[in-house]
Amino acid sequence: MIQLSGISKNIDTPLIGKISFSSVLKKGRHNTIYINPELSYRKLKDYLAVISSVENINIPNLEHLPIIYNTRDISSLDNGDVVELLPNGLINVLYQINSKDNILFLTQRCNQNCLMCPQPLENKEDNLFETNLKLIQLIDKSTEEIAITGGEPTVVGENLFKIILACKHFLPNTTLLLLTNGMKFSDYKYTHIFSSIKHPKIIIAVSLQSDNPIDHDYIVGREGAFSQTVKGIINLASFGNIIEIRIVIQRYNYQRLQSIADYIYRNMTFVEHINFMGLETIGYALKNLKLLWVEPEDICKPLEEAVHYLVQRHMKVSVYNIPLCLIPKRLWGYARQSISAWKNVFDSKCEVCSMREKCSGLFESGIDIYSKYLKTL
Amino acid sequence: MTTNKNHPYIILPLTFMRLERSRLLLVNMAGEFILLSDTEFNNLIYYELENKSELYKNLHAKHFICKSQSDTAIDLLAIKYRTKKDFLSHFTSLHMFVVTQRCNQKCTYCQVSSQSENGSFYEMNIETAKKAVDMTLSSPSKYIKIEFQGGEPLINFETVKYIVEYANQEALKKNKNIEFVICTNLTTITDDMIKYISDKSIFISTSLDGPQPIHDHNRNYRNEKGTYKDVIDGLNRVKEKLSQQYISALMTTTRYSLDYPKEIVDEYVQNGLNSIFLRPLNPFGYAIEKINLLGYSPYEFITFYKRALDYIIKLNIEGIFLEEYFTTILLTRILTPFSTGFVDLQFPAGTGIMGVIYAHDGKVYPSDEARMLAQVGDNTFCIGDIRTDSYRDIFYNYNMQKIIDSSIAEVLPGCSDCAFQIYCGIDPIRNYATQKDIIGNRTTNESCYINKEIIKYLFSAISEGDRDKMDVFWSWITNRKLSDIKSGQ
Repeated sequence: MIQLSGISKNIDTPLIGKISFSSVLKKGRHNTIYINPELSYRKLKDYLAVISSVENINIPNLEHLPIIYNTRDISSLDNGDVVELLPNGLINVLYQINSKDNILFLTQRCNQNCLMCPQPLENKEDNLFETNLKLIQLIDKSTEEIAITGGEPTVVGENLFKIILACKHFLPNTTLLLLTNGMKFSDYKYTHIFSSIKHPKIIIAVSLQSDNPIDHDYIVGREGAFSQTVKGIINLASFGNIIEIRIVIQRYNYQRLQSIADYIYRNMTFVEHINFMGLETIGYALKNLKLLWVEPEDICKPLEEAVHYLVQRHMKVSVYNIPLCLIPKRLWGYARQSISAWKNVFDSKCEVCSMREKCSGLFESGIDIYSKYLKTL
Repeated sequence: MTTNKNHPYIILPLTFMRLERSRLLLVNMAGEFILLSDTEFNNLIYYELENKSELYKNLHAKHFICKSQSDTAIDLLAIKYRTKKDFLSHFTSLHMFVVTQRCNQKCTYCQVSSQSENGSFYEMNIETAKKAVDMTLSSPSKYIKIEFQGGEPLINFETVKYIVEYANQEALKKNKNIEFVICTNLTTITDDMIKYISDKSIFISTSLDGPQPIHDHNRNYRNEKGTYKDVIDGLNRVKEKLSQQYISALMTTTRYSLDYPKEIVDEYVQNGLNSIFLRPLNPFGYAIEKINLLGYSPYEFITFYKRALDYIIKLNIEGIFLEEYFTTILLTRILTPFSTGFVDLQFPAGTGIMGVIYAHDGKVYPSDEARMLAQVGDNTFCIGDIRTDSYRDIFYNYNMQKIIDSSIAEVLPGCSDCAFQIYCGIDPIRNYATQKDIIGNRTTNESCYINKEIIKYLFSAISEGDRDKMDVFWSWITNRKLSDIKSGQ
């Protein structure tokens, strides 16, 4: 998440609003955060807040107007972005109109503890529900896709239903991608209510790390997880939900990729899409790297076999997060540019690479680890 | 069933057989399989599998073992078993109409004892046809297939047309999807008929036994002149109007075919057909009288089948799409979680509950073989008369129930412990006709031998794991071009 900062004035509680670089009609002003306006109270009194790059403000009649001044990098904002202004002068960019990687972050909490979690968070109570509800109302209606994530979004329980209902109401044309470990959907009643929302465009991306409980439960750090996730997937399917399966390739599953493919085909033939994903080497994944690491060349054969196994069976399959130079040419057609722009980088070797335009590149966090393996194509 | 110190896992229902000298094939109740060495097999059954070994994981993932009775594995197995038996949920969808008993040909192996071309006595009249269509559309199945048989159905094309029009009209009212197939020798097909068939999107299934010498040996006119030239001419005219997917052909293997697997396959390729069905001789009708002339041992058939299949696979690898129909059915059963059609090879038997045949005189039979038996005076399997009986009378008929009761493979001698059970099927009427017993005796049953040998052959190909060959198999199963699989489309 992008963050800016400045000096706040007249902000007691977090404020969420939509960015505008110019004046807007009166009825929209209560939700609008005006960027670098002419600082005149008469003209600004209806606006939610103001962000300004001026270093000092000494205009007495602005005393009731929430403002963050002395703000750097204002140019990284766009008309239509949604930001949160905090009393301490921080500006959290919650939504970027020109990004394809927008998310609704529902919670820090998670009911698993994965060895390769890129984003271990404090497992403490939080309440982001109101923020997200407000955010959904301000997000541009032409947004193509938004991911619902966390933590584990289902741990907010029934609040997830309200979030999806709000999306259905305010963002009827936006595809939702729910990133989940699926365990909660082993609760049939929960899945039933979830499905009865009938959001017309929701894809449920479930992470499944193995074809057996021994490996899966070890990887996700929770006994019984495999059984619950599988049951969750079956429940979701029984209500006709669109399901995608995500597998993060690492030491504890890379030799079984074809068995995993077989398991999915035999038991979950209904899934729309299967993604084999490279590690994002940050957070626990970095901490546990020695435990999880597989030499890139050792992944090639099992990955190629697993992908082909699914292709034979007419299943849709993709490879995420692995640069083209690290996989066999035969897999290039399945490799996607999957890394969110804000953390996507390329190595110096990539600059002259003929495949750069089609390559996923790397996670910023992985550049030092993978650099020595990269090749110019 | 619970786990304890001596039994740390539960062994789920499975069947097994020795496939090769050193390997055992295990199949679970959903048709998933695994090959094990003797040691591995012993470790499994004596509860000596190492808990975290790869073998343990494999057996768990493929649902041969599980940890407790509440394990998700059991729910999944139940779903998969239901999927495998999905053909039962449609009930009778294939309805065969013998619109005439007459035929212009007199093939050496004809199983239906056709009559000469003259005489309306052997034709289905409009009144009977109407009743049969009403019966057909009383089936609970949403998908209905009407197959015109004979005799040669084109001889009574007026009734064919009547059935197509009336059935289309009624299917629309009842919101059912309906499909028509004409099983014809193509020798009497006129351009007007082709136009009608094309306008109504009717499928054509014809017979082609191979190159002229083989075809003409088996399939000739009543004056004993060969039909090859006229069949090819008919086929060519049909191809001009109908797209490929509407045309299929099948061949019947006689003694004269055995030495020419390659030539027969080439004949199919040359005629632009993309499916061949290598059928063994059916021991019915004329064929039974001429068995000494036409017949062969099941072993000889298997040799022929293997040679033909290997050649077909080779052609496919070279870029020619040609599937062997029966192989595709079996491969789909072995390699996918799905259920397949194919009335002759199901359990419970497909006779009656998947397919039913209306004879020209209105008598109803669960299969063609049942009709043949009736023709030689054995009415054991007649299940009713379209002119007098209700849907309930016919489909809840005692004979029907007896057939179904006799085809539950899980409890039949020779089937109950067969590793190929889930891939195979039972035809009690055939057992009755060939072995004088509705249950039959598998040790001397030729169909059983042939099916087993074919499945074994497919398993040896699968366990070899040659990618090109497997790609060909999957192109058949998923009905895609081989190049689409290679390039991942």
